[in-house]
Amino acid sequence: MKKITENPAIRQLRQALTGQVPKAIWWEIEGARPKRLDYAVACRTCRFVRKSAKNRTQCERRFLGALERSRQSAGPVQFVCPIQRYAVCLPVRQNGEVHGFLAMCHSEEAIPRTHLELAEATIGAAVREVERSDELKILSDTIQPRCVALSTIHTIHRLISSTLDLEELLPRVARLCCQVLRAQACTIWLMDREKQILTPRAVVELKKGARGDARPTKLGSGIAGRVASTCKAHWTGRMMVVPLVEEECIGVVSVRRIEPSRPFGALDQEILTTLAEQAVVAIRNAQMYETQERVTWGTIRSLSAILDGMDTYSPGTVSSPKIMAEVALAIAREMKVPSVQQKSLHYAALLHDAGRLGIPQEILRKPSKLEPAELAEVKQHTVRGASLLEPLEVLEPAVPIILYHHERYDGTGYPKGLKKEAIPLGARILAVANAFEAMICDRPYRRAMSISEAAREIASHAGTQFDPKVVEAFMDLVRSGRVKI
Amino acid sequence: MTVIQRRILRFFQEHPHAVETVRGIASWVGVEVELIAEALKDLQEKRWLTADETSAVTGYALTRDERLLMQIRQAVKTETK
Repeated sequence: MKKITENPAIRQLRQALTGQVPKAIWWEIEGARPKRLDYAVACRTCRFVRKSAKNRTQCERRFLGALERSRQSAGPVQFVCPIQRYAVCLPVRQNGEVHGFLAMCHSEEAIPRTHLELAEATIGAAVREVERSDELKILSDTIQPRCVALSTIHTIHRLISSTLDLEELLPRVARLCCQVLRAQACTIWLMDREKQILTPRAVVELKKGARGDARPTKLGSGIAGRVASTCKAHWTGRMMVVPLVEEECIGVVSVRRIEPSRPFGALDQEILTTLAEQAVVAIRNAQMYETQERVTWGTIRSLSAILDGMDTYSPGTVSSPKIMAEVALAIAREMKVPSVQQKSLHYAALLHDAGRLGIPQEILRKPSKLEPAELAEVKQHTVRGASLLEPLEVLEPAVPIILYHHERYDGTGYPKGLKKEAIPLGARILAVANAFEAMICDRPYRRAMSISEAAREIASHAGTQFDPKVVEAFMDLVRSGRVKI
Repeated sequence: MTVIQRRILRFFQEHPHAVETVRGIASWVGVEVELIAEALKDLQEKRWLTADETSAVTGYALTRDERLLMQIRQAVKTETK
Protein backbone atom coordinates (compact mmCIF):
# COMPACT_ATOMS: atom_id res chain seq x y z
CA MET A 1 0.00 0.00 0.00
CA LYS A 2 2.79 2.39 0.95
CA LYS A 3 4.64 1.63 -2.32
CA ILE A 4 1.44 2.51 -4.23
CA THR A 5 0.67 5.74 -2.37
CA GLU A 6 4.30 6.81 -2.80
CA ASN A 7 4.17 6.19 -6.54
CA PRO A 8 4.93 9.39 -8.52
CA ALA A 9 1.65 9.08 -10.50
CA ILE A 10 -0.38 9.01 -7.28
CA ARG A 11 1.54 11.99 -5.91
CA GLN A 12 0.69 13.93 -9.07
CA LEU A 13 -2.96 12.90 -8.77
CA ARG A 14 -3.10 14.16 -5.21
CA GLN A 15 -1.47 17.43 -6.20
CA ALA A 16 -3.93 17.89 -9.06
CA LEU A 17 -6.99 17.24 -6.87
CA THR A 18 -5.61 19.30 -4.00
CA GLY A 19 -5.33 22.19 -6.49
CA GLN A 20 -9.10 22.06 -6.90
CA VAL A 21 -9.89 21.29 -3.27
CA PRO A 22 -7.52 23.46 -1.26
CA LYS A 23 -8.48 22.06 2.13
CA ALA A 24 -8.55 18.44 0.99
CA ILE A 25 -7.82 15.85 3.64
CA TRP A 26 -6.11 12.72 2.28
CA TRP A 27 -6.46 9.27 3.78
CA GLU A 28 -4.32 6.19 3.15
CA ILE A 29 -6.32 3.30 4.53
CA GLU A 30 -4.80 -0.18 4.85
CA GLY A 31 -6.94 -3.29 4.46
CA ALA A 32 -10.17 -4.09 2.64
CA ARG A 33 -12.41 -3.86 5.73
CA PRO A 34 -11.01 -1.32 8.16
CA LYS A 35 -12.66 -1.26 11.58
CA ARG A 36 -11.43 2.13 12.68
CA LEU A 37 -10.01 5.26 11.07
CA ASP A 38 -7.04 7.28 12.27
CA TYR A 39 -8.16 10.89 12.71
CA ALA A 40 -4.74 12.33 13.56
CA VAL A 41 -4.35 14.06 10.18
CA ALA A 42 -8.02 14.97 9.76
CA CYS A 43 -8.16 16.68 13.15
CA ARG A 44 -5.62 19.24 11.99
CA THR A 45 -7.97 20.54 9.29
CA CYS A 46 -11.53 19.56 10.20
CA ARG A 47 -12.95 21.43 13.20
CA PHE A 48 -15.93 19.07 13.38
CA VAL A 49 -13.92 15.91 14.08
CA ARG A 50 -11.50 17.84 16.26
CA LYS A 51 -14.34 19.03 18.47
CA SER A 52 -15.45 15.72 20.02
CA ALA A 53 -15.17 11.98 19.97
CA LYS A 54 -18.87 11.82 19.32
CA ASN A 55 -18.41 13.79 16.11
CA ARG A 56 -15.55 11.53 15.06
CA THR A 57 -17.73 8.47 15.62
CA GLN A 58 -20.48 10.04 13.53
CA CYS A 59 -18.01 10.80 10.72
CA GLU A 60 -16.35 7.41 11.00
CA ARG A 61 -19.64 5.51 10.72
CA ARG A 62 -20.47 7.28 7.48
CA PHE A 63 -16.91 6.91 6.16
CA LEU A 64 -16.66 3.17 6.90
CA GLY A 65 -20.00 2.64 5.20
CA ALA A 66 -18.71 4.34 2.05
CA LEU A 67 -15.51 2.27 2.17
CA GLU A 68 -17.56 -0.91 2.35
CA ARG A 69 -19.66 0.18 -0.64
CA SER A 70 -16.45 0.98 -2.51
CA ARG A 71 -15.06 -2.44 -1.64
CA GLN A 72 -18.19 -4.20 -2.85
CA SER A 73 -18.40 -2.26 -6.11
CA ALA A 74 -14.62 -2.24 -6.50
CA GLY A 75 -14.96 1.33 -7.74
CA PRO A 76 -14.93 4.92 -6.47
CA VAL A 77 -17.70 5.95 -4.07
CA GLN A 78 -18.60 9.57 -3.30
CA PHE A 79 -20.47 10.52 -0.16
CA VAL A 80 -21.45 13.54 1.92
CA CYS A 81 -20.02 13.83 5.42
CA PRO A 82 -21.89 15.01 8.56
CA ILE A 83 -20.91 18.66 7.88
CA GLN A 84 -22.16 18.45 4.27
CA ARG A 85 -18.71 18.26 2.71
CA TYR A 86 -17.99 15.85 -0.13
CA ALA A 87 -15.67 12.88 0.24
CA VAL A 88 -14.51 10.17 -2.12
CA CYS A 89 -13.16 6.62 -1.52
CA LEU A 90 -10.92 5.10 -4.18
CA PRO A 91 -10.22 1.38 -3.79
CA VAL A 92 -6.67 0.09 -4.35
CA ARG A 93 -7.01 -3.28 -6.06
CA GLN A 94 -4.26 -5.79 -6.66
CA ASN A 95 -4.87 -9.11 -8.43
CA GLY A 96 -8.64 -8.40 -8.38
CA GLU A 97 -8.76 -7.89 -4.61
CA VAL A 98 -9.10 -4.64 -2.66
CA HIS A 99 -6.07 -4.15 -0.40
CA GLY A 100 -6.83 -0.67 0.86
CA PHE A 101 -8.17 2.74 -0.07
CA LEU A 102 -7.04 6.17 -1.03
CA ALA A 103 -9.66 8.64 0.17
CA MET A 104 -10.16 12.39 0.12
CA CYS A 105 -12.65 14.50 2.06
CA HIS A 106 -13.46 18.08 3.03
CA SER A 107 -14.41 19.19 -0.47
CA GLU A 108 -17.04 21.91 -0.65
CA GLU A 109 -18.19 20.69 -4.04
CA ALA A 110 -18.91 17.28 -5.46
CA ILE A 111 -15.99 15.68 -7.29
CA PRO A 112 -16.85 15.44 -11.02
CA ARG A 113 -17.29 11.95 -12.45
CA THR A 114 -14.46 12.52 -14.94
CA HIS A 115 -12.06 13.29 -12.06
CA LEU A 116 -13.05 10.08 -10.31
CA GLU A 117 -12.49 8.05 -13.47
CA LEU A 118 -9.07 9.65 -13.92
CA ALA A 119 -8.18 8.92 -10.28
CA GLU A 120 -9.30 5.29 -10.67
CA ALA A 121 -7.19 4.86 -13.81
CA THR A 122 -4.14 6.45 -12.15
CA ILE A 123 -4.39 4.14 -9.15
CA GLY A 124 -4.73 1.15 -11.51
CA ALA A 125 -1.59 2.24 -13.40
CA ALA A 126 0.34 2.76 -10.14
CA VAL A 127 -0.68 -0.69 -8.90
CA ARG A 128 0.46 -2.29 -12.17
CA GLU A 129 3.77 -0.46 -11.93
CA VAL A 130 4.32 -1.65 -8.35
CA GLU A 131 3.36 -5.20 -9.35
CA ARG A 132 5.87 -5.12 -12.21
CA SER A 133 8.56 -3.75 -9.92
CA ASP A 134 7.80 -6.48 -7.34
CA GLU A 135 8.01 -9.15 -10.02
CA LEU A 136 11.34 -7.77 -11.17
CA LYS A 137 12.60 -7.74 -7.60
CA ILE A 138 11.58 -11.40 -7.10
CA LEU A 139 13.20 -12.29 -10.42
CA SER A 140 16.36 -10.43 -9.50
CA ASP A 141 16.48 -12.02 -6.02
CA THR A 142 16.17 -15.45 -7.61
CA ILE A 143 18.51 -14.94 -10.54
CA GLN A 144 21.25 -12.78 -9.04
CA PRO A 145 22.66 -15.36 -6.59
CA ARG A 146 22.76 -17.90 -9.41
CA CYS A 147 24.49 -15.40 -11.70
CA VAL A 148 27.03 -14.62 -8.96
CA ALA A 149 27.58 -18.37 -8.43
CA LEU A 150 28.05 -18.86 -12.17
CA SER A 151 30.48 -15.97 -12.34
CA THR A 152 32.35 -17.41 -9.33
CA ILE A 153 32.65 -20.79 -11.04
CA HIS A 154 34.01 -19.02 -14.12
CA THR A 155 36.58 -17.09 -12.05
CA ILE A 156 37.62 -20.30 -10.30
CA HIS A 157 38.01 -22.00 -13.65
CA ARG A 158 40.35 -19.21 -14.75
CA LEU A 159 42.27 -19.33 -11.46
CA ILE A 160 42.88 -23.06 -11.47
CA SER A 161 43.52 -23.42 -15.18
CA SER A 162 46.23 -20.76 -15.14
CA THR A 163 48.78 -22.96 -13.39
CA LEU A 164 50.37 -26.25 -14.39
CA ASP A 165 52.27 -26.62 -11.14
CA LEU A 166 50.53 -29.24 -8.96
CA GLU A 167 52.14 -27.89 -5.78
CA GLU A 168 50.54 -24.52 -6.49
CA LEU A 169 47.30 -25.85 -7.96
CA LEU A 170 46.15 -28.25 -5.25
CA PRO A 171 46.33 -25.82 -2.26
CA ARG A 172 44.59 -23.25 -4.45
CA VAL A 173 41.73 -25.63 -5.25
CA ALA A 174 41.43 -26.51 -1.54
CA ARG A 175 41.37 -22.83 -0.53
CA LEU A 176 38.75 -22.03 -3.16
CA CYS A 177 36.57 -24.96 -2.07
CA CYS A 178 36.66 -23.61 1.51
CA GLN A 179 35.80 -20.12 0.26
CA VAL A 180 32.95 -21.02 -2.04
CA LEU A 181 31.37 -23.55 0.29
CA ARG A 182 32.10 -21.54 3.44
CA ALA A 183 33.77 -24.68 4.77
CA GLN A 184 36.37 -24.72 7.52
CA ALA A 185 38.58 -27.50 6.16
CA CYS A 186 39.38 -29.12 2.86
CA THR A 187 41.64 -32.02 1.90
CA ILE A 188 42.59 -33.13 -1.58
CA TRP A 189 43.91 -36.67 -1.95
CA LEU A 190 45.52 -37.97 -5.11
CA MET A 191 45.53 -41.62 -6.01
CA ASP A 192 48.68 -43.74 -6.19
CA ARG A 193 47.46 -46.57 -8.42
CA GLU A 194 50.49 -48.78 -7.87
CA LYS A 195 50.33 -48.64 -4.08
CA GLN A 196 46.52 -48.48 -4.02
CA ILE A 197 46.55 -45.57 -1.61
CA LEU A 198 45.24 -42.02 -1.49
CA THR A 199 47.85 -39.48 -0.48
CA PRO A 200 46.72 -36.12 0.95
CA ARG A 201 48.39 -33.51 -1.28
CA ALA A 202 46.68 -30.35 0.01
CA VAL A 203 45.17 -29.71 3.44
CA VAL A 204 43.54 -26.40 4.34
CA GLU A 205 42.28 -25.77 7.88
CA LEU A 206 40.70 -22.39 8.44
CA LYS A 207 39.56 -22.83 12.00
CA LYS A 208 40.75 -24.56 15.15
CA GLY A 209 38.97 -27.86 15.45
CA ALA A 210 38.25 -28.04 11.73
CA ARG A 211 40.68 -30.84 11.05
CA GLY A 212 41.49 -31.63 7.47
CA ASP A 213 42.58 -35.22 7.03
CA ALA A 214 46.32 -35.42 6.47
CA ARG A 215 46.83 -39.20 6.63
CA PRO A 216 47.26 -41.45 3.61
CA THR A 217 44.28 -43.75 3.17
CA LYS A 218 44.06 -47.20 1.64
CA LEU A 219 41.73 -47.56 -1.30
CA GLY A 220 38.42 -48.90 0.00
CA SER A 221 38.99 -48.03 3.65
CA GLY A 222 37.66 -44.95 5.44
CA ILE A 223 35.24 -42.50 3.86
CA ALA A 224 37.73 -41.10 1.34
CA GLY A 225 38.97 -44.58 0.43
CA ARG A 226 35.43 -45.82 -0.13
CA VAL A 227 34.53 -42.76 -2.23
CA ALA A 228 37.64 -43.37 -4.36
CA SER A 229 36.96 -47.08 -4.84
CA THR A 230 33.23 -46.71 -5.58
CA CYS A 231 33.43 -43.32 -7.37
CA LYS A 232 30.30 -42.34 -5.40
CA ALA A 233 30.09 -39.12 -3.39
CA HIS A 234 29.48 -39.15 0.37
CA TRP A 235 27.29 -36.42 1.86
CA THR A 236 26.45 -35.47 5.44
CA GLY A 237 25.47 -32.09 6.87
CA ARG A 238 29.01 -31.48 8.07
CA MET A 239 31.11 -33.32 5.54
CA MET A 240 31.08 -33.77 1.78
CA VAL A 241 33.46 -36.06 -0.08
CA VAL A 242 33.45 -36.31 -3.87
CA PRO A 243 35.64 -38.32 -6.23
CA LEU A 244 37.84 -36.65 -8.82
CA VAL A 245 36.92 -38.68 -11.86
CA GLU A 246 38.27 -38.55 -15.39
CA GLU A 247 37.54 -41.94 -16.94
CA GLU A 248 38.87 -43.36 -13.69
CA CYS A 249 39.19 -41.95 -10.19
CA ILE A 250 42.36 -39.88 -9.81
CA GLY A 251 41.64 -38.66 -6.28
CA VAL A 252 39.13 -37.34 -3.77
CA VAL A 253 38.21 -33.94 -2.38
CA SER A 254 36.57 -33.56 1.01
CA VAL A 255 35.24 -30.47 2.79
CA ARG A 256 34.12 -30.03 6.37
CA ARG A 257 31.99 -27.52 8.23
CA ILE A 258 32.12 -27.41 11.99
CA GLU A 259 29.07 -25.22 12.65
CA PRO A 260 26.15 -27.61 13.25
CA SER A 261 23.74 -24.70 12.65
CA ARG A 262 24.78 -24.44 8.99
CA PRO A 263 24.82 -27.93 7.50
CA PHE A 264 25.72 -28.50 3.86
CA GLY A 265 22.68 -28.50 1.56
CA ALA A 266 21.78 -29.72 -1.91
CA LEU A 267 23.17 -26.58 -3.56
CA ASP A 268 26.50 -27.09 -1.75
CA GLN A 269 26.66 -30.62 -3.15
CA GLU A 270 26.04 -29.30 -6.62
CA ILE A 271 28.73 -26.63 -6.24
CA LEU A 272 31.34 -29.09 -4.91
CA THR A 273 30.58 -31.50 -7.76
CA THR A 274 31.07 -28.68 -10.29
CA LEU A 275 34.31 -27.59 -8.60
CA ALA A 276 35.57 -31.19 -8.58
CA GLU A 277 34.78 -31.52 -12.30
CA GLN A 278 36.80 -28.37 -13.01
CA ALA A 279 39.60 -29.37 -10.67
CA VAL A 280 40.01 -32.79 -12.25
CA VAL A 281 40.74 -31.25 -15.67
CA ALA A 282 43.29 -28.84 -14.16
CA ILE A 283 44.90 -31.64 -12.11
CA ARG A 284 45.17 -33.94 -15.12
CA ASN A 285 46.73 -31.15 -17.19
CA ALA A 286 49.23 -30.42 -14.42
CA GLN A 287 50.05 -34.13 -14.04
CA MET A 288 50.59 -34.50 -17.78
CA TYR A 289 52.75 -31.38 -17.79
CA GLU A 290 54.75 -32.77 -14.85
CA THR A 291 55.33 -36.02 -16.76
CA GLN A 292 56.32 -34.10 -19.90
CA GLU A 293 58.69 -31.95 -17.84
CA ARG A 294 60.34 -35.04 -16.34
CA VAL A 295 60.84 -36.49 -19.82
CA THR A 296 62.25 -33.19 -21.12
CA TRP A 297 64.66 -32.83 -18.19
CA GLY A 298 65.73 -36.43 -18.54
CA THR A 299 66.47 -35.90 -22.23
CA ILE A 300 68.40 -32.69 -21.63
CA ARG A 301 70.43 -34.16 -18.77
CA SER A 302 71.24 -37.20 -20.90
CA LEU A 303 72.31 -34.95 -23.78
CA SER A 304 74.43 -32.85 -21.45
CA ALA A 305 76.04 -35.97 -19.97
CA ILE A 306 76.79 -37.30 -23.47
CA LEU A 307 78.44 -34.00 -24.42
CA ASP A 308 80.51 -34.06 -21.22
CA GLY A 309 81.57 -37.61 -21.84
CA MET A 310 82.60 -36.98 -25.44
CA ASP A 311 85.52 -34.89 -24.23
CA THR A 312 84.89 -31.98 -26.51
CA TYR A 313 87.22 -29.80 -24.45
CA SER A 314 90.95 -29.39 -24.64
CA PRO A 315 93.03 -31.99 -22.78
CA GLY A 316 93.37 -31.12 -19.13
CA THR A 317 90.30 -28.97 -19.24
CA VAL A 318 87.94 -29.42 -16.35
CA SER A 319 84.57 -28.03 -17.33
CA SER A 320 81.27 -28.35 -15.55
CA PRO A 321 78.07 -27.24 -17.24
CA LYS A 322 76.41 -27.94 -13.90
CA ILE A 323 78.45 -25.27 -12.10
CA MET A 324 77.82 -22.90 -14.97
CA ALA A 325 74.09 -23.62 -14.84
CA GLU A 326 73.99 -23.02 -11.09
CA VAL A 327 75.81 -19.69 -11.38
CA ALA A 328 73.65 -18.59 -14.33
CA LEU A 329 70.46 -19.48 -12.45
CA ALA A 330 71.65 -17.73 -9.30
CA ILE A 331 72.26 -14.55 -11.32
CA ALA A 332 68.85 -14.90 -12.99
CA ARG A 333 67.12 -15.27 -9.61
CA GLU A 334 69.05 -12.27 -8.27
CA MET A 335 67.83 -10.27 -11.29
CA LYS A 336 64.27 -11.54 -10.75
CA VAL A 337 64.08 -13.09 -14.21
CA PRO A 338 60.67 -14.79 -14.67
CA SER A 339 60.69 -18.53 -13.92
CA VAL A 340 59.84 -19.49 -17.52
CA GLN A 341 62.96 -17.68 -18.75
CA GLN A 342 65.01 -19.22 -15.96
CA LYS A 343 64.03 -22.66 -17.24
CA SER A 344 65.22 -21.77 -20.78
CA LEU A 345 68.46 -20.44 -19.29
CA HIS A 346 68.92 -23.71 -17.42
CA TYR A 347 68.44 -25.72 -20.63
CA ALA A 348 70.86 -23.42 -22.49
CA ALA A 349 73.50 -23.63 -19.75
CA LEU A 350 73.47 -27.43 -19.85
CA LEU A 351 73.68 -27.54 -23.66
CA HIS A 352 75.57 -24.34 -24.50
CA ASP A 353 78.56 -26.10 -26.07
CA ALA A 354 76.61 -28.70 -28.04
CA GLY A 355 78.04 -27.14 -31.23
CA ARG A 356 81.56 -28.33 -30.32
CA LEU A 357 80.44 -31.72 -31.58
CA GLY A 358 81.07 -30.60 -35.14
CA ILE A 359 84.58 -29.22 -34.53
CA PRO A 360 87.48 -31.49 -35.47
CA GLN A 361 89.14 -33.09 -32.46
CA GLU A 362 92.60 -31.88 -33.47
CA ILE A 363 91.45 -28.28 -33.13
CA LEU A 364 89.69 -28.89 -29.84
CA ARG A 365 92.63 -30.80 -28.42
CA LYS A 366 95.33 -28.42 -29.71
CA PRO A 367 97.35 -27.35 -26.65
CA SER A 368 98.96 -24.34 -28.39
CA LYS A 369 97.46 -21.13 -29.74
CA LEU A 370 94.91 -21.63 -32.53
CA GLU A 371 95.52 -20.39 -36.07
CA PRO A 372 93.01 -17.78 -37.35
CA ALA A 373 91.21 -20.40 -39.49
CA GLU A 374 91.00 -22.77 -36.51
CA LEU A 375 89.69 -20.00 -34.30
CA ALA A 376 87.04 -19.25 -36.92
CA GLU A 377 86.05 -22.94 -36.81
CA VAL A 378 85.75 -22.85 -33.02
CA LYS A 379 83.63 -19.70 -33.21
CA GLN A 380 81.19 -21.60 -35.38
CA HIS A 381 80.19 -23.77 -32.37
CA THR A 382 77.47 -21.33 -31.27
CA VAL A 383 75.79 -21.44 -34.68
CA ARG A 384 76.24 -25.20 -34.96
CA GLY A 385 74.85 -25.74 -31.46
CA ALA A 386 71.81 -23.58 -32.22
CA SER A 387 71.03 -25.36 -35.48
CA LEU A 388 71.60 -28.76 -33.86
CA LEU A 389 69.07 -28.06 -31.08
CA GLU A 390 66.61 -25.95 -33.08
CA PRO A 391 64.45 -28.92 -34.19
CA LEU A 392 63.62 -29.68 -30.53
CA GLU A 393 60.54 -27.53 -29.93
CA VAL A 394 60.97 -27.55 -26.18
CA LEU A 395 64.40 -25.90 -26.58
CA GLU A 396 63.13 -23.13 -28.84
CA PRO A 397 63.49 -20.37 -26.19
CA ALA A 398 66.96 -21.68 -25.24
CA VAL A 399 68.33 -21.57 -28.80
CA PRO A 400 68.96 -17.75 -28.94
CA ILE A 401 70.78 -17.99 -25.60
CA ILE A 402 73.05 -20.72 -26.97
CA LEU A 403 73.52 -18.82 -30.25
CA TYR A 404 74.50 -15.50 -28.64
CA HIS A 405 76.30 -16.49 -25.43
CA HIS A 406 79.66 -15.40 -26.95
CA GLU A 407 78.40 -11.96 -27.93
CA ARG A 408 80.06 -9.11 -26.05
CA TYR A 409 78.25 -6.15 -24.56
CA ASP A 410 80.33 -3.69 -26.63
CA GLY A 411 79.49 -5.47 -29.90
CA THR A 412 82.86 -7.17 -30.51
CA GLY A 413 81.66 -10.71 -29.87
CA TYR A 414 80.39 -13.44 -32.20
CA PRO A 415 78.54 -14.74 -34.21
CA LYS A 416 76.71 -11.47 -35.08
CA GLY A 417 78.46 -8.74 -33.13
CA LEU A 418 75.25 -7.78 -31.32
CA LYS A 419 75.44 -4.92 -28.83
CA LYS A 420 73.96 -4.26 -25.39
CA GLU A 421 70.23 -5.06 -25.03
CA ALA A 422 70.14 -6.49 -28.57
CA ILE A 423 71.81 -9.54 -26.99
CA PRO A 424 69.12 -11.67 -25.26
CA LEU A 425 69.26 -11.32 -21.46
CA GLY A 426 69.76 -15.07 -21.03
CA ALA A 427 72.81 -14.91 -23.31
CA ARG A 428 74.23 -11.94 -21.34
CA ILE A 429 73.83 -13.91 -18.11
CA LEU A 430 75.29 -17.07 -19.63
CA ALA A 431 78.30 -15.08 -20.88
CA VAL A 432 79.20 -14.10 -17.30
CA ALA A 433 78.55 -17.60 -15.93
CA ASN A 434 80.56 -19.15 -18.80
CA ALA A 435 83.56 -16.86 -18.26
CA PHE A 436 83.45 -17.41 -14.49
CA GLU A 437 83.27 -21.18 -14.90
CA ALA A 438 86.21 -21.12 -17.35
CA MET A 439 88.33 -19.08 -14.92
CA ILE A 440 87.73 -21.23 -11.87
CA CYS A 441 88.57 -24.45 -13.76
CA ASP A 442 92.08 -25.67 -14.55
CA ARG A 443 93.39 -25.14 -18.07
CA PRO A 444 96.51 -26.74 -19.68
CA TYR A 445 98.18 -23.33 -19.81
CA ARG A 446 97.13 -22.01 -16.35
CA ARG A 447 95.86 -23.05 -12.98
CA ALA A 448 92.32 -22.33 -11.84
CA MET A 449 91.68 -18.91 -10.30
CA SER A 450 90.00 -18.41 -6.94
CA ILE A 451 86.42 -17.17 -6.84
CA SER A 452 87.49 -13.67 -5.77
CA GLU A 453 90.14 -13.46 -8.50
CA ALA A 454 87.67 -14.57 -11.14
CA ALA A 455 85.06 -12.14 -9.82
CA ARG A 456 87.55 -9.24 -10.00
CA GLU A 457 88.39 -10.20 -13.58
CA ILE A 458 84.70 -10.25 -14.52
CA ALA A 459 84.06 -6.93 -12.78
CA SER A 460 86.93 -5.34 -14.74
CA HIS A 461 85.11 -6.22 -17.99
CA ALA A 462 81.71 -4.81 -17.00
CA GLY A 463 80.43 -2.56 -19.77
CA THR A 464 82.86 -3.97 -22.37
CA GLN A 465 82.59 -7.75 -22.46
CA PHE A 466 79.73 -8.08 -19.99
CA ASP A 467 76.41 -6.37 -19.22
CA PRO A 468 77.10 -4.16 -16.14
CA LYS A 469 73.70 -5.07 -14.63
CA VAL A 470 74.46 -8.77 -14.90
CA VAL A 471 77.91 -8.20 -13.41
CA GLU A 472 76.36 -6.22 -10.56
CA ALA A 473 73.99 -9.11 -9.76
CA PHE A 474 76.88 -11.57 -10.00
CA MET A 475 79.07 -9.46 -7.68
CA ASP A 476 76.24 -9.27 -5.15
CA LEU A 477 76.15 -13.06 -5.15
CA VAL A 478 79.92 -13.29 -4.71
CA ARG A 479 79.98 -10.68 -1.93
CA SER A 480 77.22 -12.48 -0.01
CA GLY A 481 79.02 -15.81 -0.37
CA ARG A 482 76.24 -17.33 -2.47
CA VAL A 483 78.63 -18.46 -5.22
CA LYS A 484 80.22 -21.76 -4.24
CA ILE A 485 82.12 -24.37 -6.22
CA MET B 1 35.71 4.21 3.73
CA THR B 2 34.60 5.38 0.30
CA VAL B 3 31.16 4.83 -1.21
CA ILE B 4 32.65 2.40 -3.73
CA GLN B 5 34.38 0.39 -1.02
CA ARG B 6 31.12 0.16 0.90
CA ARG B 7 29.34 -1.06 -2.22
CA ILE B 8 32.01 -3.68 -2.80
CA LEU B 9 31.77 -4.90 0.79
CA ARG B 10 27.98 -5.04 0.64
CA PHE B 11 28.21 -7.13 -2.51
CA PHE B 12 30.49 -9.61 -0.74
CA GLN B 13 28.32 -9.57 2.39
CA GLU B 14 25.31 -10.48 0.25
CA HIS B 15 27.32 -13.13 -1.62
CA PRO B 16 29.90 -14.40 0.88
CA HIS B 17 30.74 -17.41 -1.28
CA ALA B 18 31.67 -15.28 -4.29
CA VAL B 19 35.13 -15.23 -5.85
CA GLU B 20 35.28 -12.39 -8.36
CA THR B 21 37.66 -10.60 -10.69
CA VAL B 22 37.98 -6.80 -10.74
CA ARG B 23 35.88 -6.75 -13.91
CA GLY B 24 33.24 -8.96 -12.33
CA ILE B 25 33.01 -6.80 -9.20
CA ALA B 26 32.77 -3.70 -11.39
CA SER B 27 29.79 -5.13 -13.23
CA TRP B 28 28.03 -6.26 -10.03
CA VAL B 29 28.40 -2.92 -8.25
CA GLY B 30 28.02 -0.82 -11.40
CA VAL B 31 31.27 1.15 -11.13
CA GLU B 32 34.16 1.58 -13.58
CA VAL B 33 36.92 -1.05 -13.45
CA GLU B 34 39.68 1.49 -12.68
CA LEU B 35 37.81 2.85 -9.65
CA ILE B 36 37.11 -0.66 -8.38
CA ALA B 37 40.78 -1.62 -8.77
CA GLU B 38 41.77 1.41 -6.69
CA ALA B 39 39.18 0.67 -4.00
CA LEU B 40 40.23 -2.98 -3.79
CA LYS B 41 43.83 -2.09 -2.90
CA ASP B 42 42.78 -0.63 0.44
CA LEU B 43 40.30 -3.41 1.21
CA GLN B 44 43.01 -5.97 0.48
CA GLU B 45 45.48 -4.09 2.68
CA LYS B 46 43.00 -4.22 5.55
CA ARG B 47 42.70 -7.98 4.81
CA TRP B 48 38.93 -7.57 4.55
CA LEU B 49 39.16 -9.13 1.11
CA THR B 50 41.56 -11.87 0.11
CA ALA B 51 43.16 -11.97 -3.32
CA ASP B 52 44.09 -15.17 -5.11
CA GLU B 53 46.60 -14.08 -7.73
CA THR B 54 47.85 -15.90 -10.79
CA SER B 55 49.67 -14.53 -13.80
CA ALA B 56 46.38 -14.50 -15.72
CA VAL B 57 43.78 -13.41 -13.19
CA THR B 58 43.18 -12.29 -9.60
CA GLY B 59 40.14 -13.57 -7.72
CA TYR B 60 38.88 -11.48 -4.79
CA ALA B 61 36.83 -12.97 -1.96
CA LEU B 62 35.55 -12.04 1.46
CA THR B 63 37.85 -12.84 4.37
CA ARG B 64 37.05 -15.92 6.46
CA ASP B 65 38.49 -14.35 9.61
CA GLU B 66 35.63 -13.83 12.08
CA ARG B 67 37.33 -10.85 13.74
CA LEU B 68 37.76 -9.10 10.39
CA LEU B 69 34.20 -9.98 9.36
CA MET B 70 33.01 -8.26 12.53
CA GLN B 71 35.08 -5.17 11.61
CA ILE B 72 33.47 -5.15 8.16
CA ARG B 73 29.95 -5.42 9.61
CA GLN B 74 30.63 -2.53 11.95
CA ALA B 75 32.24 -0.38 9.26
CA VAL B 76 29.42 -0.91 6.77
CA LYS B 77 26.79 -0.35 9.50
CA THR B 78 28.43 2.87 10.70
CA GLU B 79 28.69 4.21 7.17
CA THR B 80 25.05 3.33 6.42
CA LYS B 81 23.90 5.32 9.48
